[in-house]
Amino acid sequence: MQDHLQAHVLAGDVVMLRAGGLQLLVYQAEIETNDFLQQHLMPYQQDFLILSDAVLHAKPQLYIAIDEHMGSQQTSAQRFLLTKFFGCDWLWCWDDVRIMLDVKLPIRPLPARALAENSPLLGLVELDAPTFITSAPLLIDYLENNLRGAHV
Amino acid sequence: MSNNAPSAAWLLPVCQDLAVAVPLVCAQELLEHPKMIAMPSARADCTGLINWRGQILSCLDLRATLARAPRANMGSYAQVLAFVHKGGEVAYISLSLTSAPYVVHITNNMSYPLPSDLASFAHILPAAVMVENQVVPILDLQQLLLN
Repeated sequence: MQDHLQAHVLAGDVVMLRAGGLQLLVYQAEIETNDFLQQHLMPYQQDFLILSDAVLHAKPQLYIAIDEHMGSQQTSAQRFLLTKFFGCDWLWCWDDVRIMLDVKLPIRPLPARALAENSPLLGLVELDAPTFITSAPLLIDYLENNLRGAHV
Repeated sequence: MSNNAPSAAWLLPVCQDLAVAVPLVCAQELLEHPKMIAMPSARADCTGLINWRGQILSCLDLRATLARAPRANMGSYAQVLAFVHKGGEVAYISLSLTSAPYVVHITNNMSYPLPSDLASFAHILPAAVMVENQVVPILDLQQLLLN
């Protein structure tokens, strides 16, 4: 195992997703919809999760907030930008969403020694802050693994 | 029993009752209050990443690696270390430290057994030397990177 991967370039239409101090980058083609949060959300005891006020409904909508501060208190409408990835019913909450078209960004490799086995992170690019490259399927898998045992 | 212990080494404080030694030549730079890149889904002993001269390095907390304490936030220092793989490639890694490392001279070239509570870490601490009347394990950087 080497601590460095080969350098590559990320090219195409991408979307920066910011949650607290964390910035992620995914390909735009992986995103089905972007929208503003339309309702109040209630905090939930499980990390990464916010449940909507529709908790009394038979099938409440799950909202995912991956920064720990995002789900720590009741959340007002318009607080978050929401993203829905293709193939996933969850709505993901972000502080900021920025679409960037036709980019060519040099990828900084991540040291393999730093990454957990199921890490969804693929590399790093420098925008206004270090930004991790990921993909929707990897993010979803990672969250599903971390949500095992949650009563959702 | 003799070993290939260095005659001078950097002593890296891990916690109050433990320090590890690395060969003098391994130390590249000591960063004070390093700017850390927080990284989700990091391994249990990784405090994050640092950008060192354009290279993204993992920053490890040896307290967590050696099961002395849970991983903590970045310490006051990051010691950037380098070593040569068997293939000749130079690799870098950084360690998060709460206090500054310092150079020690090893006059006793004897190898000492690891303290029993560190026996399970013999793969990264293959030998120990006596420094200032303390048994100090020698850190194998290549194995640390591989494990």
